[in-house]
Amino acid sequence: MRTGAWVAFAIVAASGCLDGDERCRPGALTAGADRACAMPGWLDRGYDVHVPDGWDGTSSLPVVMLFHGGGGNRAGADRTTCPVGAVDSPACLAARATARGFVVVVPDGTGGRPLRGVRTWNAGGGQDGWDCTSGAACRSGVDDVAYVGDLLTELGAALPIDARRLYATGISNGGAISHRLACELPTPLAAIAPVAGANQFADTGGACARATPVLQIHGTEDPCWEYAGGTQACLGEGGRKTSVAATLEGWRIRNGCAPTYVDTPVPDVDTTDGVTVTHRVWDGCAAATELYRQDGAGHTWPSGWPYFGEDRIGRVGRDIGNDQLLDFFASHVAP
Amino acid sequence: MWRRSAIAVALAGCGSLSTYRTAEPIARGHTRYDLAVDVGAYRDRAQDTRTPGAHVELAARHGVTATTDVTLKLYVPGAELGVQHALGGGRWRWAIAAALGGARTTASGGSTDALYGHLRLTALATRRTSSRWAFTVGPIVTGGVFVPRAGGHAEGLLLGGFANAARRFGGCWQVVPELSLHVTAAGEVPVRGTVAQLGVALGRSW
Repeated sequence: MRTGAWVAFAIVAASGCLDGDERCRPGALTAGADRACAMPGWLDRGYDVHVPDGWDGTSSLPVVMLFHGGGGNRAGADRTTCPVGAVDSPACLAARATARGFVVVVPDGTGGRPLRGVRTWNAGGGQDGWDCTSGAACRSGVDDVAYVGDLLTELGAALPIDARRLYATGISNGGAISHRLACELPTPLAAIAPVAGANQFADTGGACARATPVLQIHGTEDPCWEYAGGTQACLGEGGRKTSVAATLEGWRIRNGCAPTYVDTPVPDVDTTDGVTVTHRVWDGCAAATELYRQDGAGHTWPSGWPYFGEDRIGRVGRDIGNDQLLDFFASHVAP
Repeated sequence: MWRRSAIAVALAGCGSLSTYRTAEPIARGHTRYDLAVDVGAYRDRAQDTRTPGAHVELAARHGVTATTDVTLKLYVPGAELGVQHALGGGRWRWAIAAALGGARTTASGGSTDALYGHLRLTALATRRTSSRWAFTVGPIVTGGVFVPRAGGHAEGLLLGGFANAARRFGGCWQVVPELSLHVTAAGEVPVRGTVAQLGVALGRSW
């Protein structure tokens, strides 16, 4: 028994050896840095940051914020954007973005209790039968707009970030929070590119008056966030979610577009994926409003990782990918 | 979903809140080993979540004096050290117990990169009705702390109680089914709400 007691003591003592993530203070982030940073004032809401290799150390940097989906966390967010989930692939969003000079920030949503690794964003909804998007963060009213504001302040103290080139993207609940941030973040975003998540906040009555360039990417066979809206939810309980059409009509009006658009078929680069893509661009916009409609694709990142079986989340389209998303970001600067 | 959540709760650093004990002490120099499993439900009022859970734990309880025994409990991913002191009694036997535990979790699945700690205080009242059967009830107070690597910390205080029935068989074996219920009095560790656990321990004494 004496040995067992010492083993127990060692385990408990070792448990205490938790080196906390440090705040990423000025000078901590250098060219090529991949760091996990603590977020002061927010319980268990740290973030990962990836700095471009080629940064000269003084130039202000554009920032891509990548938001994980509901039930996920930052550890898996970038993997979702990688072909077959290979996180060391140069085709992953973080790798592609840093190669093009963007800082990539991958924050954590609010953890559930007791499953604190199961995280969500408060992207709006929850009233009049609308889905509260999503999960614990929405139901407990977490102010994720304030969190992202604080995150940008924290990051801005560590790096010279370009406040006119702030971008947001993410899948599902991460796409939906991108929409909400475009509506509410005090510092206007230069552009957003939500994937498989629509604007639950504004489409259910949230105040959203600001024009913001939007590139929506959505599969027509999405079983989790249906293209036409609805109550399907492949990974959890379902409430009513808004449609891609309603979301883009909202942005069309806010962005000063004409009701007309031009549809251009995207070359079917991968003829085996069962997906074809149409690029829709609205006419006469003050702020760009675009859609990649992935016919046949599911609740997946374009050219990304099929994180569950095709029977649950549908197909991955491989005709577009992170380059289209980054091209859109690179072409927009906030006024 | 249920199976995934159950496994995740076990890995999320939440130790079992069950006792599987009576107020009777382990005889000095003797050791009892218990293998216990439980299923439970975690309800968080603020987040409006209901999460099923399951645990497996292995415990060794050793008598160090005629009235005091110590316990080492292992569960995934943590450990707990405890002590129980018998207070005597007549028809009802009384005891108090304390346990201190910790768990370290990593960021995967349902868990985050964090340290969990807990201190549990239990009072036990046992009524033995025969050489085979004993029934035990008592209050449990559990304090928990959650220290994530990414910053901040949270605490929680649970007030609860348990009831179990211990049945001896085969000379040195014992089986103890137990129900325990807990309500958060303050804080949010492990939830801001309620926890219910139903489990059974199978033990053997040497």
